[in-house]
Amino acid sequence: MIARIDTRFNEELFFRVSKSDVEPFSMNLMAAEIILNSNVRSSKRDILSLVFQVYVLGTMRGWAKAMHQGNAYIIVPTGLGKPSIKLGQQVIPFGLLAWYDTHGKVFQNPYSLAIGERIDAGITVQGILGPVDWWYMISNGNGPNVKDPDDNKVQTARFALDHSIGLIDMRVGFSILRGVLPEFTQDPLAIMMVEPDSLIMKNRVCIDGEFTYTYFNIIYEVIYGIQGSLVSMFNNMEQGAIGGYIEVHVPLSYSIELKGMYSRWQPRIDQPLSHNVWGAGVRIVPETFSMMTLQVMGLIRDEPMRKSKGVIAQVNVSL
Amino acid sequence: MKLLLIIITSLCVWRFPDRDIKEIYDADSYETIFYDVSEKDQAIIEEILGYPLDVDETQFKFFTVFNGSDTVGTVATHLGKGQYGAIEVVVAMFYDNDPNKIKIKEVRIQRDREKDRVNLRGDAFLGQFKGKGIDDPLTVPDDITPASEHSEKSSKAIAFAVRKLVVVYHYMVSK
Repeated sequence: MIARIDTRFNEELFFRVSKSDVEPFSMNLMAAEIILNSNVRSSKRDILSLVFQVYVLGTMRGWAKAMHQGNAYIIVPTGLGKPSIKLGQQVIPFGLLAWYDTHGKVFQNPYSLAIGERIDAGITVQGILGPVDWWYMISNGNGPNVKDPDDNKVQTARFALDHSIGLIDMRVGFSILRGVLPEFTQDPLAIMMVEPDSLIMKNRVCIDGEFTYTYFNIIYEVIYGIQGSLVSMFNNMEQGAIGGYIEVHVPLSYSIELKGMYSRWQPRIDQPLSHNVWGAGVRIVPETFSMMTLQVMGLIRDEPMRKSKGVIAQVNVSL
Repeated sequence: MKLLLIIITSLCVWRFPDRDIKEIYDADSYETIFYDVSEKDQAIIEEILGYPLDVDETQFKFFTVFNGSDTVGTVATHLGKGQYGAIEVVVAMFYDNDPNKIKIKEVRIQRDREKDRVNLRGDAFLGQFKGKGIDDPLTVPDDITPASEHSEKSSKAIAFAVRKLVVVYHYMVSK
């Protein structure tokens, strides 16, 4: 019996000022969005949570928008210590995407090239097995708000272990993914309106994690992939792809944190072309107004069809 | 450590609800209660607390914990402002034979970036909160001894987070 439904709204705004040697000085409202969050409970326990991400205004378009906008799901907990079920459009639990929220951040790990999407329609079951957290998701592989046109499905599984010892916190995750997904030659997060070159069968494995030593923090992932059927990997090794991501955080105080990153994606191991992005900058959170964040980041891109150096300043406000 | 179902409150994520509830209460269910803080509520809470609430603290979430049909406690989370970033504090409370007299059962740090992490997470510091309630000021260093001489700001941030949750819950439930 439903005892009560509570609903609340959060408004978020992302405003970006950027300049690079290949693009003009520009000021863009990346997104103004509303997050609706409802909780349904019976007299003794929560029985359902519902989350909608509503994109209201902004300049995001195309596949870049689809990678950041479109979350709409329900979570059904089946009981304490038992698996929960998540239905709807949601972030794929592969590698860092499973736990590191890239939404609203200037730095992005290479999911747009490695997987080809971030948000997908599907069903996730997640639970605990001893000390291990696990996820299994089956999804369409089309991105959000697209009617599934075929029988191809993407399957993603992840296992993760967290451990603390003394001054060190560690997290290590292992993910596997298989399914037909969009393949991009150019990064859709850099060029929003770029379309996928094809839809191809992707097999991906990833080790991701986090290492924190007191205030010093690193997150990382290493991804290896094979295009095409699993059988072909044994007789056609040039189909291999490899990439990785590392992001370093060094706080100077509560409000100021230095950040650096390196992202790489090499779509074919047998060819030298690769996507490389280096970034460094500062993140500022005012102590008396912590719902506002300022990121000022320098980015150097060295990609097959795009080389650039630029600076991005982004203000995020979350109320 | 468990990451089964992260619960996002308006103030702080509760990262390990299943683990915390099992370990602290050995209970089997919980429900989420929202309390909207009106302007009048805010004024009274700030007077009791002695400090203003943050501007986004217009709603608080508390998680009532059940064992079978018995209510065994309430959990809340809060972001303390530490020396090197946010400190995520989990406060587990219980009812001391009187629904209006809650006491602290346990305080946990689920995430921090502090240099003195070992002392801040240690029993010697966090254990001081056990059994304290609305009548305790939870001030550092008078009522709560800092985790170490190097972590007074972080210790104050944790103690203030705990005090805030106790005051808000006590006021909103008993008003």
